[in-house]
Amino acid sequence: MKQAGRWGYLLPLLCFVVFAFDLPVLRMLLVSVDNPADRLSAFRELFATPVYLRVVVITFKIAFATAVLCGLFGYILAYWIYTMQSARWRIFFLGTVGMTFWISILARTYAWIVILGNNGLINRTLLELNIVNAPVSLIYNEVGILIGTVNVLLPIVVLPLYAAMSGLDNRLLAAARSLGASELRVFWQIFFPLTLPALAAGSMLVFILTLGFFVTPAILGGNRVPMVATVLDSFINVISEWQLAAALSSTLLLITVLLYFFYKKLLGMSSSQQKEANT
Amino acid sequence: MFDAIRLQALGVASALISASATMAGAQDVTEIRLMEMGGISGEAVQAAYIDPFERKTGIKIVRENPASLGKIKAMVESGNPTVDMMLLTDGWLAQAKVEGLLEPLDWEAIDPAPILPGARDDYAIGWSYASAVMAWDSEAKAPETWADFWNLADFPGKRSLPDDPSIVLPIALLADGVPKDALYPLDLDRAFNKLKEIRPAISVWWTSAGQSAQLLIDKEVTYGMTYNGRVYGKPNVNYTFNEGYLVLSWWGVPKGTPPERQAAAMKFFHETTLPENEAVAMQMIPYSGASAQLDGVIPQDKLADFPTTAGNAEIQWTANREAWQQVAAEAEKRWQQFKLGL
Repeated sequence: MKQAGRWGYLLPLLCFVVFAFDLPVLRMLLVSVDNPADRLSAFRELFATPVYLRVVVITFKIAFATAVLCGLFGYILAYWIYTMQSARWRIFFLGTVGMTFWISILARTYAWIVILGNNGLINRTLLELNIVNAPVSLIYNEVGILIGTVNVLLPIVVLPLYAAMSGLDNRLLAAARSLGASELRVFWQIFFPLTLPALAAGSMLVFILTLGFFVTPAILGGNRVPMVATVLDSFINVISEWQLAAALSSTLLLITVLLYFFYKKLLGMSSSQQKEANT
Repeated sequence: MFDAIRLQALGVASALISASATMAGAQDVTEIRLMEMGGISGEAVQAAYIDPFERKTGIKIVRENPASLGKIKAMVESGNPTVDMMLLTDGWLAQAKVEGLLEPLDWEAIDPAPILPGARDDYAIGWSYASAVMAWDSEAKAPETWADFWNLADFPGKRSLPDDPSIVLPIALLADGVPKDALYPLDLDRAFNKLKEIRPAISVWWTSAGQSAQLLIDKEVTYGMTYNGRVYGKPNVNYTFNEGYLVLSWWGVPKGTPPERQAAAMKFFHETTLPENEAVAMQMIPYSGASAQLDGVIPQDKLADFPTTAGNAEIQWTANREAWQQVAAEAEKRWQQFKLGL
């Protein structure tokens, strides 16, 4: 009876996930082999054309760099907020981080053009100070994409990291200090390992989100750096090759899932090592 | 408790009544839906064509945007189109015809006022000519042809072109000396070779018309391609219609649209052929309507501002979409390779 009741509460959510998410993904997988004469024709074309695989590689490269940079900056930012004495300032800075979620990605991306463009704030300052004599290319290349994606996705790392840090049992740190550990050692041996899972989860999330990014690469990359989402757009809206689009998406999905399992395994290993070390 | 049940029953009953009311009203269309591109172009469609149509017929038109080829295809494949009329670029029209995504038009029901012959198709009606033109920073040296645009020594500066091989490949051929009436079938090898010359100077392969104009207005690039309506009257940007790409936008009806709604759409299409309506749109945004009688409704001093008037059409090129269709998939693949520097 109790079990059935629990299912009753879960059912609407379950239905929503199945109908709004799982079935469309399944349909996409089916579209990719939707050619009775030759089921794998789309995949064959994909793998026979180096350019598409290269686009996948570039996308993973940018996603990986974004995840690393978000992890690094996010950790520093979260730690800085965590160490603030005044609760009011902590709330203020968390608020400024969270507030960026309310501003449209498009507006934020275009704002970078004003700052990074040839005629933008940075280049004008550099030119005025005679540091450079021609504008530096800060957008319309991979650097531009990275700046944009890191900026957009940073809060996704900062907020869970802050939550993990403030949820930490302070007595552990106090105990380490009472046993004579230096602040540096307390951080690296106690604090960092305990917040690592949150850092890893946040970075993984950023990695996965960057894989499907469309607006930022299209605008800040000047479309000179093709990523999977922009190529998918041209498959669907320009040459109307849905089968190829589905095959490319399925490939991306497969690689992502594989990477995710790899990551789970790594994480599982590190936490079991920790347990062993603890015992 | 009892009240709650009664309330529910009442709700069900009223839902049933309203459902049967819509079924009865199916013969009598009171509202149709139109998908367009939004922005100022959408506002022009509203003021020039939708408002007079609603006044005359009493049928309301609801606008949605932006249109895309993917949306038409998804809509038709689901078997239940959610709009009755859709804006089509000439590229989408060619593809939509190949895939059978459109209903044929009833030209007798449209009963158009005289329009240019190029705006008549079995599956769509052309309604707005725009030009993708060569434009430049007004302080820079003025180019006259695409060959000048390609000439990095005499016309130095960053450039931008559309992220669209169906436009970029023909202009590369023009720059290479191919006459505009001999562009098709496209010589892909020659076009891509010519494009390699200019690749280092391209900052942006633009994807939206708004972006193409902003790049020039912000001086992010010195030379670029953009739509004439986007830089019209901008003090720091000059442009020329010479060797511009004259492109027609169409209206089409997604396959599976019920006949009575199609009939209402034909009445709307009639409204888009009237020169006095087109003049309203042309005051808001300098794209030409498809009417053959525009000279009578446009002030003489403004004639040179539009893509098809004052001889502007003759100095531009148009795309042969059937010929493009033959090479589209191959060209798209090579385009991605080209952008990656392969």
